[in-house]
Amino acid sequence: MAKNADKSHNTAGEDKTRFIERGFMPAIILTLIAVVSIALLALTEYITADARAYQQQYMADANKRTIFVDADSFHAEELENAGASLEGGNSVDLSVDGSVIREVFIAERDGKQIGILITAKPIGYGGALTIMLGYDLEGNMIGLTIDASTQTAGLGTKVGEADFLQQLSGFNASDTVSADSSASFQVDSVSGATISANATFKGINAANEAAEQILGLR
Amino acid sequence: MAKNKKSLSYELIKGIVKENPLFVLVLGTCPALAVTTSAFNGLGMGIAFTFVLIMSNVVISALRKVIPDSVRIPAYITIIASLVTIVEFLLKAYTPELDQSLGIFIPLITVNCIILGRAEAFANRNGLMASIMDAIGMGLGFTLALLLMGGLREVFGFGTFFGINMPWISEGGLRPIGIFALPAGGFAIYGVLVALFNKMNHSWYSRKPDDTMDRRNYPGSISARTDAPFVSAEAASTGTESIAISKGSVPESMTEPGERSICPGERD
Amino acid sequence: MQDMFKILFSVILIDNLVLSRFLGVCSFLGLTKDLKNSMGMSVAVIFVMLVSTAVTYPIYYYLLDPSGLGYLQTVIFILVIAATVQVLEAIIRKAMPPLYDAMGIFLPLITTNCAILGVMLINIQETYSFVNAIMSSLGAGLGYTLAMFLFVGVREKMETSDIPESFKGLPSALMAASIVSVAFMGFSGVIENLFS
Repeated sequence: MAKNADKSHNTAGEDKTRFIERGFMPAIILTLIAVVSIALLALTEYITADARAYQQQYMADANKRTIFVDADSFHAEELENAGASLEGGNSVDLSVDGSVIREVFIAERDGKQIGILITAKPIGYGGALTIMLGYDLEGNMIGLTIDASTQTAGLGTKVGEADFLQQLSGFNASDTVSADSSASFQVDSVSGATISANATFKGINAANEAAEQILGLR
Repeated sequence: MAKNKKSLSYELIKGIVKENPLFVLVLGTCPALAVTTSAFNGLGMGIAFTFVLIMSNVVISALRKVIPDSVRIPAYITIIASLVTIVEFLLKAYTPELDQSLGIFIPLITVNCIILGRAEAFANRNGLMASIMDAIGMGLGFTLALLLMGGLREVFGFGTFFGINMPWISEGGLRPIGIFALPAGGFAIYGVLVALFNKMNHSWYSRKPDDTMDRRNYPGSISARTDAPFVSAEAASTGTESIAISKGSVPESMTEPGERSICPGERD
Repeated sequence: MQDMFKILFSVILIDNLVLSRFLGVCSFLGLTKDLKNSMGMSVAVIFVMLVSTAVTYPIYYYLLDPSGLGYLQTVIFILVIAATVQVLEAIIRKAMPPLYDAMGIFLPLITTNCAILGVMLINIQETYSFVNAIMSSLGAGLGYTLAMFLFVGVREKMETSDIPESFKGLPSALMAASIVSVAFMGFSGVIENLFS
């Protein structure tokens, strides 16, 4: 038992100690502590809710805006009915098991739909990559961003860097993108980061496939 | 072993070299190795950690006469976990990039043996001011250690420091040595720094680090010299090396379930 | 099915708990001087991982998440882990004394092992299904065992070497861990090609 150094309060201290150790007191005190802690937590959650939501939205939208620079809003689609709100598009269920597609957005400008944005999260080395691809209504790829921060620093993270990214432009949703010579859009892989690179290709091709289906290009 | 009340400034300074939590006591190694891929991350983690440590010491020291001994551990865990979650909210709301880089290691501050250890060994028997000083000292030592590791790994592994490019790195000239950014490099740098602190303590205090502190105050610490996490009082005084864990040699207080400290080491 | 094994093997080899994700390093460094301690701790870790996953997963998905209280996961999970460890210890002590003799003393130490809480949080973060979560935890425990086992061998070898004064003990162990970590990097690429 912890020894208290205050000699002056000894008797009173002993009485109090005995009281708090007796019967249900420990359980009551513990419950009190738990209740106060959780109350404080809920309070902080409430106070920071707006700021956190803003930050989340900001970080999410920031990426989208680098692809669709002049879009004024992004309408999120439900994965089960991706493309349902797209005029002239097909509704596709993308929530199947094993699908790396996580989000589908329709980009709008001046009330008109100008393209779709698909987020894929393929698992690379040590974590998932976040790939965002933007397509115009003909399925031509407009832009992409890759968040490779979960990959091995200095190796896998190279798939998020300019050298690799600059070759990933100008393809269409009907293309297969990979380092294979059989691919309709062949690019160079990253040496020393095969897993990350292959995961990237997998994500891009999954997004292409989804875009094709949604835009009804096949 | 009777411990005289050291001055408040001693509590503050001891955490920096003599009893640096990361390099001498070897506590809290998991976040240290994982988040020190950059100096900024290291600093951020250190500050978040110090905040939790100070608040935890304050609360536990303030409530030390009220918390019954039998529910000590669950109470401390609840308090610390709640503080950590509050810090997580604050980070998510005001520094989201830091929150993303530190990832799950923010919630993992909860099980950091430094915080639990200080609570159990210090805050629950000492007054408010001493506990605060102790927390600041340990937090400072930990933050400096993280900054050191993060800085070294960033400079060698990425060629930057807080995002500023180092002058000797250029396309055609010296390139950064990638391995320091990887786990392997983390272990290596940590090893070198522990050896360095060993040497510093040895020459500055002309005693082995183990002799300069009362190890019972640091449950969970691994002796950086002898590498022995479980040392009974007799062994400490005779200087014996690590003891194999067997029923016979485990200290009395460790054989009762529920009575044992959850950070390895001994209790009073 | 393939998914399950993919997760299992990648967590053991590529995403190794200790050497790659840096979870459970304290116990890794502190206990690998002795094979018996390491094995005892490893068994305890695997046990607690599996039981904790089985308990925390439903708590999160049926209790916390639906009521929007997901942010309580840190507090609830660690308390659940602490309680699980207490209960497990009592059960093993009564029901399986030989097992308790072998690894019982390590159980309380696991509460503060970042590996357990870490893996619980990762399972939620990666939105694994229940089976995948169990596989992930099992893999984490097995990876931990593998790393410990290999490392004990390395340290035993180092006992007989001539090491400079400042490096004796922990620093040399860390340098060795660094090299073992590099060795594990060689596994990348194996799993992807085995299972895809």
